[in-house]
Amino acid sequence: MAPVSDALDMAVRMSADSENPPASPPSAPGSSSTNIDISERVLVSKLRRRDPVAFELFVRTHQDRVYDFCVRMVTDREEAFDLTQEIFFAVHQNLEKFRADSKLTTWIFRIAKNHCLNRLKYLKRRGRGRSEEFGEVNELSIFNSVGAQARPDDVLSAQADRKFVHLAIAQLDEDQRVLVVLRDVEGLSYEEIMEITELAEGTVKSRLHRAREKLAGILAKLESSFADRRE
Amino acid sequence: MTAVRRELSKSEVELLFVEAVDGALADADVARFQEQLASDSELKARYDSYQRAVNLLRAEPRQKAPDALASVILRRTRRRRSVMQSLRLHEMHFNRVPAEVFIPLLLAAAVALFLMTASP
Repeated sequence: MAPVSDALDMAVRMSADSENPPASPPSAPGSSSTNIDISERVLVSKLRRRDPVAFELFVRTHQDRVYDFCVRMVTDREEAFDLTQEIFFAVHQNLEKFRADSKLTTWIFRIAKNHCLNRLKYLKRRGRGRSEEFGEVNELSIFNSVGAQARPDDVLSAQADRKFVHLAIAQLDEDQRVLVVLRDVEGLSYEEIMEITELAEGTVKSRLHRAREKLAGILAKLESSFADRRE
Repeated sequence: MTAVRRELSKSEVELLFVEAVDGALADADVARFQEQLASDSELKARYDSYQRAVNLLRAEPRQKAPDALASVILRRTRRRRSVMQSLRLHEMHFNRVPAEVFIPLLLAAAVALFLMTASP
């Protein structure tokens, strides 16, 4: 990840030097947000000009985050693989429509969210004909897979926690899942989430709260049935 | 003197939980919140399970994109780019001679051909 982002930074800086001579005096050291804005603007203009090198670096820089978001949303790796392709394809096709008043990441997440919600609707209509993944894993299979071999207790419990989290996320409503994933898994700020979901701050916080409470309830239920089975 | 405690409203709980988990509570509110938790075991249990759920989510390892993903995306966009380029090229050639010039020229050529073949 680091070499790619370094390369991207370097490419962006080089093009900024060669194509856009600074119109204003250079910003003071430490004003990193200005630097990010400038480099993002340069990157966006390169992407709009369909620069293949810039697009490749852009894909390599953001693919893990987008893929991770899709896996959490659709709870299926194969679907997430297809979705991530479609999202980047949509980004490539719609770069002209990107208004530079929001961050590029926020814009990608908005496209990703819409694609994921559409796909979930489609899968629901189709009766979810997908590969076996977290969403379709039942409690019994989790107990079997986690408790299958004798392992040290902490490894076992960490593994169980991870599976329970996957299962709990999959049991949330789509709108709740979006908020939980954006905030707690992807670590986005409330401002970014407001832009992506087009909801007011109060609504985001109260829906997020309800989603977390529901998730905590599901986790508690799963853990207690897991503990019962182990006894 | 004992402080009079009142039940927190639903929206107060929401805000306190969200801000406490984010570490965004002001110092005065932290003390008030801790006091509330100490005096209300049900609220404390709710908050503990809430906080634990959030911590588990935040500790989740990221799913790494499969190695083939970037190349698949790039291949698709490259294919699209070349299709678009050929379309543009085609359009450019087609538009080089406008229809209002091309059609009379074509007619003139047809008439000339007819005259040439018809003449003895």
